[in-house]
Amino acid sequence: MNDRRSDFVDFAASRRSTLRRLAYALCGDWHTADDIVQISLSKLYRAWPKIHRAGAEDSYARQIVARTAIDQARRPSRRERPVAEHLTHQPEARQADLDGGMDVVAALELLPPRQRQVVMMRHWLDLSVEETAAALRISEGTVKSTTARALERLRSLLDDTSGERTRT
Amino acid sequence: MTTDLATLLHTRLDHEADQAPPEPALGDLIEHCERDLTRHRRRLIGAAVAAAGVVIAFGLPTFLTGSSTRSDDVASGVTLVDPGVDLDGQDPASLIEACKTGAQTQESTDLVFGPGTPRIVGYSNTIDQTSLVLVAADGSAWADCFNADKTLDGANTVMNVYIPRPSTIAPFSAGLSCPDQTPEAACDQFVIDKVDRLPADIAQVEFRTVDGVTTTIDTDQYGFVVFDYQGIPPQIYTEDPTPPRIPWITQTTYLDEAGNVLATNRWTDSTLQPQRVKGIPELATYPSLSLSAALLDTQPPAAR
Repeated sequence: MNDRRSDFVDFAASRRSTLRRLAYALCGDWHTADDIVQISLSKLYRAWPKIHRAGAEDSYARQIVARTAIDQARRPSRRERPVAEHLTHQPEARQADLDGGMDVVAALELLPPRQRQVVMMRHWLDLSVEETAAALRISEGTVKSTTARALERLRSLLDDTSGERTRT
Repeated sequence: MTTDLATLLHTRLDHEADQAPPEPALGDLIEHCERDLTRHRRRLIGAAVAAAGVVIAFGLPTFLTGSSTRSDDVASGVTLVDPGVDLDGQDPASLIEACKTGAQTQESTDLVFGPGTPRIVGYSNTIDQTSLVLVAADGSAWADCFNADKTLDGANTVMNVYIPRPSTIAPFSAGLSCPDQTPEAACDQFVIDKVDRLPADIAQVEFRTVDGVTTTIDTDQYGFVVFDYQGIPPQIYTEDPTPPRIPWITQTTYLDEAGNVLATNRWTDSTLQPQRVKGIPELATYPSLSLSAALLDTQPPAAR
């Protein structure tokens, strides 16, 4: 096994689950996330010697995943997915499993995509403001403000649903 | 964020991940990466050959022999693209229209579109950009229409227009390329886009690029050569926002039909050379390059 392949295999083995979660955070679908990770790793492998020398593997990989997720979302096959179906299918199913209040994952799916992505990257994947900004190519200020709005909306959704259920 | 909500997010999303379909096997992922890299490397070489080959084999000769598409052919449904040029299923009329509304000057647009609807004689689609080669309806000009975002919509499209006459310099652009719009400092590719028309003596051109690869391209029977190349530059990664100055083409060798070296230029940077072919007369002395009308001549190319 040559050095390029050996180093890359080590990286892929240790990071693919994290990258998969990032892809899922960005697209909301595990199968699409797998596609995104595969495409991203292929892109990373092409440039691996240079990226590896520079020690920029993680940040570069996150950027590639983010860009690939955007590209995938722009594909017609992705755009044609019925919005109503997307919004109602899994959240409702998840709500049925709850003891009280809306499930936080269901609530996440009701957020605008960018808000959902930022919250998941910051508070699930534990990326810093700086890392999130770099991956999404937005300013750190935008990350902070988007996170704040998203959390406010999340709390609102969770509180509202909890209240409705209490009343019923 | 309250600790409860933070914990809840972590717990529930971790649970989601646990319930997710199994990850693809690592071996499959790596194998896919290896295959992709192999395809990518082949495409780098193939892009250069194909760009020249498509133009030479299907585009220009057809146009040069007088079968070019006129503007009224559009309404009658005559093809706008030469046989053998695969546009990946895209509509040629839309592509041509995108070039017409590109970011070039009006003068450039008029040169290509003034005589009527141009025809697509070449197409190149690499990870870096999408390019079309257009020929004006009357053969008076040809153009390299490209889009770095690969969308080929009018807003991000530019045409470089070439008028075949002795004063035409060798268009040459090169630099770091950023697939997927990665930051300049993280660019992992370099690109070279070069078109030229050379004297009849020259049958082949060998381009040696900064990555150590030598690509040989045949000139077509009228002297055109198109070199469209992408490569991975060695030791180029830098945090410096200013791109380094690099001799993208380190050597150009001109060969005759028998493979004899006519001239060699070793370039130390990417500046244009006023006299491209050392050791042989200047281009203006070659009758074959003297008039654009020669491109419309139906006589055999030996006349050039």
